[in-house]
Amino acid sequence: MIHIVDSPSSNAKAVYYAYKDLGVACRIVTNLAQLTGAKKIVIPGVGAFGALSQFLNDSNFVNPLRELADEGTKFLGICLGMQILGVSSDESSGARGLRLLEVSSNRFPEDELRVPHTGWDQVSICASHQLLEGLNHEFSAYFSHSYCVPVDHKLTLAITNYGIAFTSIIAKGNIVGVQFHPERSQDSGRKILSNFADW
Amino acid sequence: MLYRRLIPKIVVERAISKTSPEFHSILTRAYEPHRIVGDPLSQIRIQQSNLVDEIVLVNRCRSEFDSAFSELVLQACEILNTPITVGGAITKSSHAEMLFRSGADKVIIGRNRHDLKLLESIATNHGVQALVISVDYSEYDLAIGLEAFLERELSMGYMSFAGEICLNNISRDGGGVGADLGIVDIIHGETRIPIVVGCGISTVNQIAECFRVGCDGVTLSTFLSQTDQSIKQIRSHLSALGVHIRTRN
Repeated sequence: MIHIVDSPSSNAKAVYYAYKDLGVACRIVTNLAQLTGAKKIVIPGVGAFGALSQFLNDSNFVNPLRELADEGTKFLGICLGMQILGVSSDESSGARGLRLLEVSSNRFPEDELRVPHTGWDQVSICASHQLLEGLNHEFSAYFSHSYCVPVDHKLTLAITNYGIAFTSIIAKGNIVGVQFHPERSQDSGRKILSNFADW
Repeated sequence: MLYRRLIPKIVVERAISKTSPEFHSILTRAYEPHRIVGDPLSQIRIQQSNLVDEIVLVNRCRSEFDSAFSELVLQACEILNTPITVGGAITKSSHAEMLFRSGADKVIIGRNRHDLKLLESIATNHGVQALVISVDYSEYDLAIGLEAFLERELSMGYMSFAGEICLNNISRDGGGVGADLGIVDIIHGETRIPIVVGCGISTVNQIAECFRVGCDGVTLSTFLSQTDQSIKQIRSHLSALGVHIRTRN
């Protein structure tokens, strides 16, 4: 069972339908009680770091999610959901992430690039992981974001180049994140969602 | 390097039905209904099977936001594995939230782009990347001169909240004379926000020209219902013309 954490800004339904299409049991989680016993949690994207951080705090999700992570529950963060797994973001100074990954998100250098980074771009795998099984070494995926996590060779599983190289897939222990939207990235995206379900 | 995007735009209108709210997709000319062309959900299925880069779904409602449209978006999201951008008389942030909760990835604000409180609210809650500003203008608007028109647009202040700008010269809609690219160059000089252009495209060479002048994406509506080429074939054609376009997933 995949537990998809809902928030007012997210496109949780899109992830829900993707898993439904894959034939994987899933539910959208709107309160803490529904997280009991969760073994796989997805934090969907779409939103702003500050608003999501505030929602998680106000809904008392932060500590239970951190405790589940400590107990070994597997997490998949998507886009903003990946960034919120980290510590902070340039998008909302002072707002705190879940601090499951020691990373922060930086704004793309705007003077050189079109920002947001919107559309399909290349993802280059640089480390092996069960999440990536069956994928080509390079594949395209759909991105929509203005902030990114810098490359950290201990954590980065895949890189995308957009003026700078940034982390498009990250992993540490039971925590993984993707900067793109697998629920919107056609076959490659579905493969990642399916791999997370099988992980 | 980002691939250039081909984006089918499906315009819908509420059908008059005594039993349930239904929408049909229409072709427009100068943004006025021209012809009913079928069921939006089956069109979405067809476009998805062609691995389109994104789909735009717009409810052509002149007066006010129609909450039944969010139900259509929900039905579309049930079958989609590709990004979807939606719009149609969004005047309150609650309208946008309703569409995001149905599964939309981005929302379009057109006529209300002057409403900075609305834009700020959407950008703060859903992120700038989720907000597309549609600049729909006609030759009548351009009569004051291109620079004066742009000055008027930029003075509205919406650029600070826009994740993407979609430029549509309504006078060219459905006419097949090519998109209005004169405006694109000047906008590029003013902003680093991604630009999508639509209205008037009827050949692959016209699409290639849009990308040559720096557009990030092109929306296609009438063209797709009249051409004998699928999106896959158009993509191959564009690739052969040197456009950096996705030819596989």
